[in-house]
Amino acid sequence: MSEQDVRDGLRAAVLTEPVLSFDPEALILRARQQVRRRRALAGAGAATIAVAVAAVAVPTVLGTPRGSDGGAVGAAPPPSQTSPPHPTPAITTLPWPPAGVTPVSYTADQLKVRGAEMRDHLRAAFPAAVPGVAQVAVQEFGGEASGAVEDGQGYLNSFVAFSLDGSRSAVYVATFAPGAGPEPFSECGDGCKVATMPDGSHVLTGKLFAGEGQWLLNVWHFRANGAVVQATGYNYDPTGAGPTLPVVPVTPEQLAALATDPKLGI
Amino acid sequence: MRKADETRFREFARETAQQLRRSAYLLCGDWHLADDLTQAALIKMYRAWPRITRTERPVSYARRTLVRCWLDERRRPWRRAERRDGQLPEEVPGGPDPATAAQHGDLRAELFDALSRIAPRQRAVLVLRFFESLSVAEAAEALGCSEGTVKSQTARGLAALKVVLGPEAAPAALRRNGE
Repeated sequence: MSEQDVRDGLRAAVLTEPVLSFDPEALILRARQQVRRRRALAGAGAATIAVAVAAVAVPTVLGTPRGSDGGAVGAAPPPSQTSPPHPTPAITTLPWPPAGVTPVSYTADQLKVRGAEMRDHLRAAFPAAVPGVAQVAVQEFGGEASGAVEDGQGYLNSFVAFSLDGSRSAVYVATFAPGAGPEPFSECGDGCKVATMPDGSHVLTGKLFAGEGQWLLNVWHFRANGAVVQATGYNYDPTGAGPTLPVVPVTPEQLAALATDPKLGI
Repeated sequence: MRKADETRFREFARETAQQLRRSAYLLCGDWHLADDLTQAALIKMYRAWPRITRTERPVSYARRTLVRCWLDERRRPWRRAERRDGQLPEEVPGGPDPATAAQHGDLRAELFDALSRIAPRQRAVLVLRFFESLSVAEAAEALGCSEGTVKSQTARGLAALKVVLGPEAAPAALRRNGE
């Protein structure tokens, strides 16, 4: 097979393309509206961020009562008297990656070593973060497939399959190198909540409907160094063919403990 | 955005949308998703347009953003275990005659089946090199990687295609389109 064969094949593949179904004018209008909305929301929320987010939003976003141990996210300072009684969804946009972050590139060998380290760590860290789990199986970290890594790949991901109260499910753990992660809010969903950590990093929590009664509970830790760690829970077993469960069996706090675990990340 | 910038963006979007969508289709194999990816890439570009025009070549930025949008789409957790169903998109009303369309459909099915079986970055490299006709350096710029990586991914991608299509069947299957 020659390179010309590939060229011919690819060109032939688009010969019968449908009529372009979107209007550039409508696209510009939509883009303009997005920019305005982001600016408006960012402006309205900016004044409340400093006092509200660190003190109030973190425990509430993660479902932890004030005064209790927030787990891996660290202890929040006491709320100031000017804090609102409930968190304001103050942050609706985050410049990403942070200014000054230089994208990091790893070789496949480096990624394999790092993946093995994280896999070993998760074997102990996952049961610690999600008490009561049994039959924990941590898949090999990889990319498009378990164990598959390539030079320059900017991420590593894995599934941790487990049983809890007799039901099978799994948590997806994805780690992105500085500058290689998803954009904040791009996959967070309508109910996205944001918490700012004392070190300036951000935790985003959102729930996504995957169709046919299936849900994903996502937590992302957008770290100050530009890296991202994602932990996703499911109300089904994405690694198997089990039944759909009534609820996602892991909590936002448990996923946040994983996403903010400093021993996870590349 | 200044009016002049927006006018330039509008022209750019008009000029490049179709080609971007073709590349998106070759990446994802679905015209509807290709529409979504193209729109997502252009909206991202709109937000950064003034900076892009000052610092980069917009076409290169568009290709890079499109590939990034597609890779992001691929990385969504519920996509990872997803398998392609092999269904082809609907044909255009008033398009080529049914016999030709059927032949193209068979060929596209074969090609997309092969493309869907190789790693996404290899597929992206093949699309950029052999559909967009980018040089190694341009593909490296679009993908944000080294030229060496583009070369190795190209070689691996072609080898993987050959394995999937079969060493003898591949040239014939691909050439039939040009007949």
